[in-house]
Amino acid sequence: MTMMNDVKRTGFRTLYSYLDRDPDKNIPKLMDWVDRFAGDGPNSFPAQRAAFRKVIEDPDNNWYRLLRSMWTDVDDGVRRTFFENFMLNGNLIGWPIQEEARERYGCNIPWAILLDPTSACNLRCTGCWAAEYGSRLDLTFDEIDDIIAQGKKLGVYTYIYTGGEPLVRRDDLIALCNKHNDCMFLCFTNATLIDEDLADQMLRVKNLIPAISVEGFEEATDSRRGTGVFQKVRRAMEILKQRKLPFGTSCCYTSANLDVISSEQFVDHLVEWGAKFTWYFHYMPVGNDAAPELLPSPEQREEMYDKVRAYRKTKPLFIIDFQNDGEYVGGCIAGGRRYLHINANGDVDPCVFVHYSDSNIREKPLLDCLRSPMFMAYHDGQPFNENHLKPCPMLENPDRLREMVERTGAASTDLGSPETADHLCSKCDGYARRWDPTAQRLWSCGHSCAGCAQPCPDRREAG
Amino acid sequence: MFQDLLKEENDVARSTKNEIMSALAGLLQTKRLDDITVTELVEQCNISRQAFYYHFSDLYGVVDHGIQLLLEELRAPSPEQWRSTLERTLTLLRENRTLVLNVYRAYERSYVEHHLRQWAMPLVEARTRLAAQRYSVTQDQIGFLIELLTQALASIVLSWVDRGMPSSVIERMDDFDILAEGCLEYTMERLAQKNQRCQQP
Repeated sequence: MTMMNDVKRTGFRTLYSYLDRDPDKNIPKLMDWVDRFAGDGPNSFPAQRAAFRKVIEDPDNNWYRLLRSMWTDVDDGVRRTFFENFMLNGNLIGWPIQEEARERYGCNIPWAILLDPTSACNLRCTGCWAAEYGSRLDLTFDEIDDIIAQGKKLGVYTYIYTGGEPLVRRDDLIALCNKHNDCMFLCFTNATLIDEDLADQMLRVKNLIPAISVEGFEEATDSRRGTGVFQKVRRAMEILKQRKLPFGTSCCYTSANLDVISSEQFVDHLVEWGAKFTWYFHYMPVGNDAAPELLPSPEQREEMYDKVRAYRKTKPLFIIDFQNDGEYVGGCIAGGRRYLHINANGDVDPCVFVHYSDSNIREKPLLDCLRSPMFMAYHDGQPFNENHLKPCPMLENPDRLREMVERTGAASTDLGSPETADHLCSKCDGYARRWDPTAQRLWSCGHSCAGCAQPCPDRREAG
Repeated sequence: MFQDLLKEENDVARSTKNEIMSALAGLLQTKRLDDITVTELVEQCNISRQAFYYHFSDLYGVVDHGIQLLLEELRAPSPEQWRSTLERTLTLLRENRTLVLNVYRAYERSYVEHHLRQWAMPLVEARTRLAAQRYSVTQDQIGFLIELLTQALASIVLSWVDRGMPSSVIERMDDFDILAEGCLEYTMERLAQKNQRCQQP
């Protein structure tokens, strides 16, 4: 394995140096070689290669513009580290190690680990549990370091910080980036703690990418997060842009803000502000204080589905809508199938939204957590629905979560507002019923006439 | 050796880095680099592990940083002073013999060679370009001579460290200086003649 990895590393670095010398000239050349080597056999991915060629032969294509901007907008060292840590270590080298572990241990092995360095936050946003939660909990530097060390043995090279506001622990996060300089770190953040000094440190370590939370324009942001926050976020983006540090955004869509944050105007602003990726999250009614009326209606979710697909054809922005993109990843990716979540108390949750667990990282090794009854229930139950537009065991299949929690005895790990699984799931029952017909229609249309050139009669055009 | 270099450092980050370097220099008086742990080092300088990792990825990072500072310090102020800079480098290394050998033995030979070339190249380049002023030689030819003498100097120093750094080699640097001068003058003269012949119709 080590020798094979050395071969992969050398090959990858040679390729990267070649691309880096003159990307405009060498990307198409590289594709010529790929075509020549791939031949035209059944495993030669002709459709994928043709699609990629179409992208790189059209300088106006949105994906080519995004790829090209990696050279114009991103610092040379940061770009190299991204390719090396994310593409090479996280996938080419990490994936076979994960696969081997999946087979050997018969459980899920994640591709990424989400963890909360702290429950603390510097803001007091309306409706956020971190604002109400009294005492502060932290994972220590040594605990996070140990989680990463355990993860790397299983082939996990991607770590994503959530919270709380992770950058409250900025020095520790920089130290972890420095120590694990073969990993890629992403950080969900409100961005208000990003200043020149932190950006300089990010430029030094090269492997920390922020995903900045934005929920709309100035008025919407400030009314929820506090006066002046929007301008601080914009300032943070400017600081990152000046140093050619890549960043993305994270947007939670609700029935109240969906129209704005799914609008073309908003997406164009994200591109203009410098974001390279946007992750859309569907609002989840988690916690006793949750507001189920903020759940998007089926019409709104369909609108989101359409718009994201339309933007992917036109905008130089890597957009993922986690609730609507299950088709690309085989449904639910939680429970360690592709990721898991460790909160600031050390509880190992199957999902960032599903706070029921029977494991704590302070009490057992990561691998044992993955083999615990709750994680095995995810492993054995996935996919929770054959229709990947209904991927979640909580939101679209609430009976599945009720059953898993009941059967495994997993307890609530919610730090702010513990509730029973039944209480949580009962907020999703109505939603699941309402979404079902739309999900079925979209799924059958998207999958029964794959490849057909005619638009489906019962689907309105995206826009 | 490190202590003198540390005087210039002043802000908080630098002062922590300096403490770490000093503590490592202390430990290297008695142990090889690969027998020292970060935990042992941070206990020595009374800082946390995260404070260490904020600045350095590992112990090799500390040594790299020290070497970079050293290289800056050992840059010859002028081409004429290359001889004294050579001697100063070897004397400094020899005065810190235990430390240097405890670092050297933890590294791959090719890595040490890389650093030695980093040190030797600017010195040789300055000396070569000084000589080249008097001859009509091409940049390619100058580059070839720089490469050759850099390789020679790095190899001499590497094998000297390998042999435990005997003092006789420092005296031998006088001979190396004569060799380099003779080599440069003679070769450049011949190259200039060759270039002239080539230009004649």
